Amino acid sequence: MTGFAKSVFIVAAVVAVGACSDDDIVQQQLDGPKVVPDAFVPPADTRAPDTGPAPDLGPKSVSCTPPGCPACVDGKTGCAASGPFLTGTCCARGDNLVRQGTAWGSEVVDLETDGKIVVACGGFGATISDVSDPRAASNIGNVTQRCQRIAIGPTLSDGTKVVYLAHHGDSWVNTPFLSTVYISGAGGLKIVNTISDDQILFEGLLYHGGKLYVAAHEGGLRTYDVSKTGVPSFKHLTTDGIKNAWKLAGSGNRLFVADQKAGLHVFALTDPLKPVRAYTVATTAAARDVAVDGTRAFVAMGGGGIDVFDISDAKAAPKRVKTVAGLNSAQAVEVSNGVLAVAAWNHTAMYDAKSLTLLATERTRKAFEQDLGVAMHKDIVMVGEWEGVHIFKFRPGYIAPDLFVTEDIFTMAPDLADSRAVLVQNLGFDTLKVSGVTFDSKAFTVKNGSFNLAPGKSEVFEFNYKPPSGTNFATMTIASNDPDPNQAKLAIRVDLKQVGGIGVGSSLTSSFGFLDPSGAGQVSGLKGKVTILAYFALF
Amino acid sequence: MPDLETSIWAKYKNKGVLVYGLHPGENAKQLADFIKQTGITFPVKSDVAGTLSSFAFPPGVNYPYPRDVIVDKNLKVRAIRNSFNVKEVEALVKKLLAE
Repeated sequence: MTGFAKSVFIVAAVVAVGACSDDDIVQQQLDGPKVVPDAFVPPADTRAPDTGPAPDLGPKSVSCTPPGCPACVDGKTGCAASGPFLTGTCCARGDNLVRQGTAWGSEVVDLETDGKIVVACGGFGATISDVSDPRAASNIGNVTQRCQRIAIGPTLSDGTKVVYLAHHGDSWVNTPFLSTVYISGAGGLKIVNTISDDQILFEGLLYHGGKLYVAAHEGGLRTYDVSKTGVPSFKHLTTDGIKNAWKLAGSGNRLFVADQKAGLHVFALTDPLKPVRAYTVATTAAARDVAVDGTRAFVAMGGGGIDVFDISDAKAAPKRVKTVAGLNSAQAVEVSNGVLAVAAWNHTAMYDAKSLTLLATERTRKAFEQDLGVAMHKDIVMVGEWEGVHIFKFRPGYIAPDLFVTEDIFTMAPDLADSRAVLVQNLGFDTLKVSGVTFDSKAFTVKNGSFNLAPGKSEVFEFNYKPPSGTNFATMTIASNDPDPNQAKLAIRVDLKQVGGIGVGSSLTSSFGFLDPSGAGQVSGLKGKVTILAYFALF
Repeated sequence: MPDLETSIWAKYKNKGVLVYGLHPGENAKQLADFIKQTGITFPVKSDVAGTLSSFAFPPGVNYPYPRDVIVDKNLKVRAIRNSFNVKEVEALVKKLLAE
């Protein structure tokens, strides 16, 4: 459910017992089943499956002039023309977001990097990797404490790196916490302090200007002094204007707060220990993350896209420049080197931070991708995907075709002949050549599965299904000249029947009787003309 | 969730549309906080029957994948979506309401 803020399903099965007959949602849950926490034992190697060795980047063309390089899409022949390529860069054919490798992580929901290490939080705790060489990340160690948010803090005088981890509490973490971890070298991890408080929903963390700031939902913005040993010492709380503070970003003496209900706050750090709210501007949808580059603030809003604000005048409220619609659900944002990176659920997208032109999309895995976090350091982009951390290098000025298909899964009734239309878009800046669409099942046929698409164009092809399937699902492969490994042969599932479950075309079974509004426990008690079951989990 | 609340539940709850948020047994306090913070008003229930497993485990995938399941008046599953496209879901709701 991508409309849900940072909500993902949890791997561990939940044993649910008891019955619910009360529609009072809160009381119903208070009386509901208890969940027994699993023992979290991180796998020996939690890196995401790699898609192959990193390609040799080769020297970047620095003297690219037509006709040797393609004209920019705005029709100008000079490669240094403004947009869609970053100012001062030069057109050359090639992938602009090149895979470097993977780092450690499992059930990843967020990550942070300082260019030397990357810390990924998730269901199995925090994994910390040395990424000083992005092509050869190495594991520093794991903190098995389940976490959601990270801030990389100061480096102490003896070289110890301080990292903060937080969790706002869920079925597995009964009490929200903020922990301080020392990293003293390979494997030298130690939790030196933990603040646990069921009255503080620790959410977004930001280490900025020697202070640690914590967004605590409706509990406000908390400030900690970490100047001595890195261990947080609480100094200040403000709830001024805050309705649901989620994540944070800092720029100079300003602190930006993504507030799901209020929008974007700007706090003045004239006194860094006492942030004072200067401005609040509404966002066009619920804000869940914010990134700033000094002149602009980028606010991720899930299915609402990305609000972009001009923050160049520190003495004025942010002015909305544009709302970028996005292609799926903007979960997290980061900006560096003039490039905006967006973790957008089923892909990661890169934008020119100035022109807001989409520069690239990337699939971090072949199917069922869930990109929830993104971190950047200079031109290195790290994506926190549910199954791991993927590392890329952004190369401005390179152009390539970029295949994009919105759907991840098609679902069809197994016993009914049916057809579906598939929209293929070329979001890149070079001609996309779709060489063929194939299925691994003879029950499917494809019409018009080979075509060329100019930049910015789209094409619809149709596939037909004729039962029997002989299988529970089929895989459709769209082959193209997209340079990204997971998009060159884009695999899309067509589910015909869930294993052990039910799918499109089948009827709800008696097990859904617990939803009967009358409390009689009969599935027939669901009298809606339409019923929507929205499965979700908090994380 | 906010999209489902505003684009479907708020607009169609009086026209025969039921919406249930189903979770796998979340911590009561955190769930209450979340409901309060997101402002959702449709019923949220614990998936006591484990119906999640009916939909959310695509073959060959070892973890649940988020799903919205859309059911018609005859309790037949008409669509399963893993991304919430407001326009598409609303169009489908309108179509099913007209049946």
